[in-house]
Amino acid sequence: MSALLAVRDLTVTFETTAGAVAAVDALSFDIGPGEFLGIVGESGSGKSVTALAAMGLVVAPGRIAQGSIRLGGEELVGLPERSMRRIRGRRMAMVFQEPMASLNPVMRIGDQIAEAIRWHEDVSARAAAARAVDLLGTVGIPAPAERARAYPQQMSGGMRQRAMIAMAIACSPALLIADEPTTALDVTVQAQIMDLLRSLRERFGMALLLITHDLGLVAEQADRVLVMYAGRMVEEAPTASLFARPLHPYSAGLLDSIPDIEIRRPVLPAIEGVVPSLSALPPGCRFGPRCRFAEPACTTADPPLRRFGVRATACRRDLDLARA
Amino acid sequence: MSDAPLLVARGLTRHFTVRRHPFARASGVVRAVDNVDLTIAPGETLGLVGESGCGKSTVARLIVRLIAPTGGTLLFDGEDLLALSGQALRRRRADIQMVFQDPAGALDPRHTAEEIVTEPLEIHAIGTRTTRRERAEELFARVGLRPEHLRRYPHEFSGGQRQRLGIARALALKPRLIVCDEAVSALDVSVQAQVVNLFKQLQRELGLAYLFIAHDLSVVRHLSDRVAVMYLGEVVETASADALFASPHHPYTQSLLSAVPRHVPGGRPRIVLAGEVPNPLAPPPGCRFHTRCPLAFGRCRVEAPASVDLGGGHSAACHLVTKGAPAPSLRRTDHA
Repeated sequence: MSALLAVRDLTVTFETTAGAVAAVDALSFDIGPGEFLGIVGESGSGKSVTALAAMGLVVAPGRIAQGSIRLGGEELVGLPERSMRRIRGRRMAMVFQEPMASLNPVMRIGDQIAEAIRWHEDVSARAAAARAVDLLGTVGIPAPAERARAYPQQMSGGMRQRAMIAMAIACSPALLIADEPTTALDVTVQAQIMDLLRSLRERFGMALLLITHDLGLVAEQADRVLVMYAGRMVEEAPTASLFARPLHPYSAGLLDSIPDIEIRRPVLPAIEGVVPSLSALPPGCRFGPRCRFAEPACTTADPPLRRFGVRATACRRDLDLARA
Repeated sequence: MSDAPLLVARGLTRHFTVRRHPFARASGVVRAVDNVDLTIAPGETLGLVGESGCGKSTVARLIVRLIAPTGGTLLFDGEDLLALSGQALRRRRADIQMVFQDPAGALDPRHTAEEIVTEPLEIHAIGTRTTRRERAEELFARVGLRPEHLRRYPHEFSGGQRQRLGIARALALKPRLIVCDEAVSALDVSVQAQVVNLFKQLQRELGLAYLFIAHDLSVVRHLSDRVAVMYLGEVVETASADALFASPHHPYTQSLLSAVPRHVPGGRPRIVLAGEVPNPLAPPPGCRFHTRCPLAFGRCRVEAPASVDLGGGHSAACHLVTKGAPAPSLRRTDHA
């Protein structure tokens, strides 16, 4: 399968007073056309920086220190901003957690969507405005012609996120990146937005990259999942396999530590300790100090990612784990 | 347990007046909390769930008396909390403490951890400097912080440690009830599990009662003995945690539970509600949920349903709920 998005050896560093830290460290992954990939991790895992890097939105003090990001074969790293602007919004688009921060507060919703269309396509203002109304209808906003004339603050959180999605899909991108798109929303509205993303993906054949801390969201819909920890990918697997039998102790611990709505346990098996600071990483495996399987050898070298068919994990014990 | 409840709220109500600008005439009334009944037994956890704007945080602030209700009664240990003032209120406040969502916002950045934890003791003139320090050390051990953390400032702690600090402060006055408002919502999953376990451990060791307010139903399920569900300022269903999650009766509870993503691939059929929570300034007439309820019929639009007692402490406010009958079914009404 030729990848739609191919990320190779991507390292994104941020300059801090304590020196440069790598928020994303030597990350490689692919997304196929129409595929739904989930990237899961806690704060500081590098999942959002990965999305920003793909969109060419890493700004100082951050920079892409090494690696390659190809979209449909075209290299994006090092591409001038002028060229990147033609790709962003047209061939891939992004939806953020807080729609209010991404929308212009003094411009009507319909005009903002029409502006995005006219940036990429040579159409009349009238045609763009009509398409904006159609798009608002497509994302399930009632009375779209009327709502197109509304300002963002006149809409609810769920409606704003729908408007953001309408803008993102305006030019039928091949890849839609959604960074915590439902985290700021109530659970019943979250279900609506996830249903919308699923139906849009089916209808337009878009690939979807969902960045989230919520394993539940990827469990229900993603084809494949990457688990990140402290800047590194620790596991990659088809969704069903990951949830059935996680290979990396961190993925296993994460799955275990989440309370389930239907099964009640006396004590949650929490992962002890805290996520390390990127400027003070432990020697060897980054998860070592919190890992219940850690051995002295785990502190000597950071284990590389190794592949077993469709799965991959970065644990020194991977062979035992794969057999266990 | 039910003989002598610790906290009883009856008809608890808080309306806020809305003005277009500070000198304008009142342009509306938000019924943030409307006629809410709640009971918490000693050592029990009552979970309070609902979406943003349902009034759950206002309930928290009413119970710790950060704001005054516009109606209803509030009894703690049989004593009328609303009649208290001055010294008596201050003494009573020691019994009811609160843990907030954002520990960074609830802790003074210029105070050391020790000052933060001993401040309630100073205010209540408890002990000497030395005994207060000993108490701080003891509290730190209880919440899983180390003695050397006492000299640190809030910014030197991780999110999970800051929340432990907030819990230590809440415990300082030996309260009997702790109101937790989204106390684990801002934490990463792996740390959230640690703090959830800490809450359970403290309850076992100290016999604390919790009012645990959260939007994450899985966490509420894990911690609560009983659960109350709020919608637009009203409690729509109350039951033991087991009964509520096994057999939710109110259509809103059913859809809320089904909207929670399961950590199991494939999932299960989901009831996706149409629309969003209506504007609390103009709540719908009749049943407040009828605009989103797939089962709404004529009566729901005109008459607010009374709470129906289903036995065993389970009650739901819906015209379609009858004691002894199965819960109204929302399946097959899924919106695509």
